[in-house]
Amino acid sequence: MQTFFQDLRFGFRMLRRSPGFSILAILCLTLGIGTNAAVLSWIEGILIRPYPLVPHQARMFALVGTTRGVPGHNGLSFPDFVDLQKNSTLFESFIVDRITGTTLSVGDRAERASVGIVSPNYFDALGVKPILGRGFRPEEGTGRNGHPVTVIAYRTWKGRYNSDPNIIGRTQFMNGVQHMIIGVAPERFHGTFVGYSFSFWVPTSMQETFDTTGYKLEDRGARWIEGYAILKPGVSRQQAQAQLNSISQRLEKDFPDSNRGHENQLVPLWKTPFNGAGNMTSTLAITMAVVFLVLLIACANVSNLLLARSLLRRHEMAMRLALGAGRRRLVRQLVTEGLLLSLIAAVGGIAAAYWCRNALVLAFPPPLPGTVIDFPGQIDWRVLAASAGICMASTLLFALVPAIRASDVDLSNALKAEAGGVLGGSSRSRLRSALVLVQVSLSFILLAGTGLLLQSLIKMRSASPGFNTNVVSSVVDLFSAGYKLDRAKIFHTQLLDRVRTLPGVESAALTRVIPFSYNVFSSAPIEVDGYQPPPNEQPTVEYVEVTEDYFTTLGIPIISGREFMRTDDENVPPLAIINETMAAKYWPGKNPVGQRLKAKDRWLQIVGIARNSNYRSKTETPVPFFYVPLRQNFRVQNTLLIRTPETPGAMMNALAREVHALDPNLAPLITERLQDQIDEISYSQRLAVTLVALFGAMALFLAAIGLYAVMSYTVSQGIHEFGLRMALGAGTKDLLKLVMSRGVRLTATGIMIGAAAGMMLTRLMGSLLYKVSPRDPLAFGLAFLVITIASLAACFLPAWRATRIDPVRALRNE
Amino acid sequence: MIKLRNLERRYPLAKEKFFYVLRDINIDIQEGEFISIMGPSGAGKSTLLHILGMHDHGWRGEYFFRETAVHHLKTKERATLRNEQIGFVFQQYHLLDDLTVYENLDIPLSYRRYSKSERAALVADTLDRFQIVGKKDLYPRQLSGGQQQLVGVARAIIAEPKLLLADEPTGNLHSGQGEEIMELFRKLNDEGMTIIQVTHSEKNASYGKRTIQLRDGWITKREQ
Ligand SMILES: Nc1ncnc2c1ncn2[C@@H]1O[C@H](COP(=O)(O)OP(=O)(O)O)[C@@H](O)[C@H]1O
Ligand SMILES: [Mg+2]
Repeated sequence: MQTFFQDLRFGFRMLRRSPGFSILAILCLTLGIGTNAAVLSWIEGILIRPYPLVPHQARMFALVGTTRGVPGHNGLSFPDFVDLQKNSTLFESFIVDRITGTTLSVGDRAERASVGIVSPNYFDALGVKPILGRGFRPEEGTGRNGHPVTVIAYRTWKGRYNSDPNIIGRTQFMNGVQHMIIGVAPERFHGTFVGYSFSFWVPTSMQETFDTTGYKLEDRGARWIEGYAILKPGVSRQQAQAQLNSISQRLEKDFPDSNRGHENQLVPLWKTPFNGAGNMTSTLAITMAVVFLVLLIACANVSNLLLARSLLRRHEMAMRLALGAGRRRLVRQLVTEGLLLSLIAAVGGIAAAYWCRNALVLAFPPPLPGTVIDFPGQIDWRVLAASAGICMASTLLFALVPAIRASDVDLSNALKAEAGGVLGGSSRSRLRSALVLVQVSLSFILLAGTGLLLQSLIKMRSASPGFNTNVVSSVVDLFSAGYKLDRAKIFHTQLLDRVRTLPGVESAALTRVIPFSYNVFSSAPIEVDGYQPPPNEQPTVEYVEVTEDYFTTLGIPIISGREFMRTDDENVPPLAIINETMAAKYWPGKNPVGQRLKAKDRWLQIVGIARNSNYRSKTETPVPFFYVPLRQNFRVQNTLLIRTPETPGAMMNALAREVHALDPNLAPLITERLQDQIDEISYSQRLAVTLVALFGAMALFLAAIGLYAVMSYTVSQGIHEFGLRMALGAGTKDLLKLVMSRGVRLTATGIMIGAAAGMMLTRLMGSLLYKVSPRDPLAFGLAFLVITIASLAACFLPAWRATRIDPVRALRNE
Repeated sequence: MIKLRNLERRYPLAKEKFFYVLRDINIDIQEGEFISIMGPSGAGKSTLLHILGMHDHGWRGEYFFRETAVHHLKTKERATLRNEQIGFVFQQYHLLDDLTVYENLDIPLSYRRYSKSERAALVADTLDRFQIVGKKDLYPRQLSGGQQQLVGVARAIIAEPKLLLADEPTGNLHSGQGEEIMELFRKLNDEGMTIIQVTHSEKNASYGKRTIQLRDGWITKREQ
């Protein structure tokens, strides 16, 4: 104990004696531990245990519907959900959850609020108890529009109802129906949609009231639900999946029309392909990769600093051995010092982690106006401990080097050598060079990788989705206003005609769903003359209802046939326009124009082929897709698309006047360019650019510090040599040239090693890259440039210091 | 050749207090002289040599080197003068470990205005003259102390200086090797080079033509 305190005191003195070294080492470790802990906890909070207040998240899985032979995923239908619940024995519960929205009036303004359509067991199954009132009862799940009850979020209770303690039993008007408030959810419960806070929950019985696409509770083919399954304790995922498969097979046999090829998969929460999580997995993966590199650089820095110092302390170690210190005693002394260093850094790391966490949460822009996002911002202690552990382990490891080296040296030789004589022993100078090489090559790999990621993110952002993103879109919420189909049809027809005559409007069209929105496209099992699907497979294709001028307005070329016309309405036979991928898949080598396809029991005649465009994301693989005339398939809710040079604001005003003329109670809701919509839905990518740039800059900063430290150590070790060279006639320029040329040689070698290693390592990033080769010359070129500049800068200061050396002092024999 | 007048060198000790290493030094040295400086450790011998060698600039007084008033020269001009006129031999040899004998000899030339071919010729001549041609590709650690100092002397005179300064050149050698170096000095002196050496040994001092005794920064005795 006594010796421990003695070691501790000496350790403190050593840190104080070289404040530059201590500050650099602690700074590097702090940044490394801090950013890692922040980002990893963030990832843990979003993906691994995404739902605050929900216990047993380890037993909770996302329920994902898939169709054999069709890439991607779909949802669950309500009848299937009921059957799963009834027939399973290994599951504690299944829950159902569908995000939707409603328009609420706040005084004379309209405001969007998010609504979750959930199974009645939702709160019980999740183990979340309302703080006021109750959750839903089993009977409230079914009965078409029969149970207008709602559980409200804590935030809604506080904001909209001023925390009224007598709120239970009051009503809220939503989508034309009075809903009775039966419960208030606890404060930190936000629902089960990563990235969003729900404002209201309603039971599945109210689906038709909130879903613009019609009643679906009895439609086995309508897969509109996002489901979750909670396994019984002790049941493995494999067992549960096996049972799920057998139920799915039975359903397939019993209901071949709707369920042919349909399967259900249990997916871990962190791989949830739907809701916000699906959007963020790749972003988080990229961020994690970069942050891990930051940690790596931080560790390399500290190791380098410690190694460098170990060389300086060789004499001290040799002295201590000569004076009779045992090797164990030496090791203990060094461990104490390393421990001290990493403990201070760990404390700093915690502070940095807290700061970073807040910065990360702030960096997330709210995705849609009127909705609130809530990302978990808690630091996970296990993650913090892991990051700190990595740093401490590497610190301790390298702190021990002097002890190992000291016991290797021949005492008398070391003492004599250190006392003067020999200049720049060559083994030492080799180690010095190795330090710089490691630092340079690591930094190069990091920078090249960051460059690739940044570039693919920028490319992803600037890539054209295949349509004109300057088009203005606007919605009038007829559904919430209680319009029925006939009225809605007249309203939209008149509105479209009026809008087309507005000054500045080049063309306009209606569509039921715009691309890159959270709304779902229609989908249908299809049949094609002469196309034989593989057995057990049911080709299902998504489509959307659009009016004439849709392709003109969005600038999507029709490569064969024609676009829809105003006369393509109920009076002519059903039509369709298909995309290129669909044409190639179902009519290989033939011209599909004039052919027909069967969807929802109707034969549609193909009148045109449209160029492929993106429908949900820029990274999606091209899928078959088709369009049908809106006038043959009218729905209550539609979106107006306008090509105009006017601003969305100006358009909104003109539009508001036209809407007002048609119905004084209505106003257009959201008016923005499609680009805004794309930005909203791909905000995680924008965030990734920010994060990668941020952490890339941090890594560069750390790398530069490391380079500088190693370089200046190199110079300080060469002080004898520089003094001697000065005494032999070297001038300022000669010395500058000498140090710089050594630095440049080392840098060049380091870059070469880094480039070679980088070429191999960046291939591993292939899946994270978008339209960028893992050997992209620009990324590597930039990394080369930045590293060269950084290391020249890192060399120059020590080099200049070398020229200030007093040769008399440098050569004095002490 | 050298004339020092009222030269002093001091280091600040505390506020307004100084530690005098050299005081009121007055020396006259003629071309072709061979002088030994003696005195106990800490007397200021090395300091004086570094001042003469124009490595140290923190002194006061007058220093004339062949009609040039060194005390009026800027640092850069002193460096030029030194490079042209002075060579230096160290007690610890101070050879660069990572360079061969050949490369060590080339260093001083690389800092002066010699063409590549002149440098090669000079190094070859010097290797020849010191009879170390066979060792030109060896590294210093492969040589004995005496051989290393031989290279040290060769390096000091390779740029053909007029004045050779040597700080205890035989301090780290045993007597046989020391004698060899002293014979070499005598030969160089006979060829016309002015030499000033610091030494502790009366025997080595006897190779010189004159001895200056230093004690606590004062010149205590001059022998003719
Ligand atoms: N940078 C310095 N600061 C203070 N004192 C110094 C410095 N350099 C040398 N001295 C002192 O000057 C004195 C003379 O040193 P030196 O010329 O090396 O003596 P010698 O070579 O005769 O043994 C010594 O006492 C030494 O401690
Ligand atoms: Mg001395």
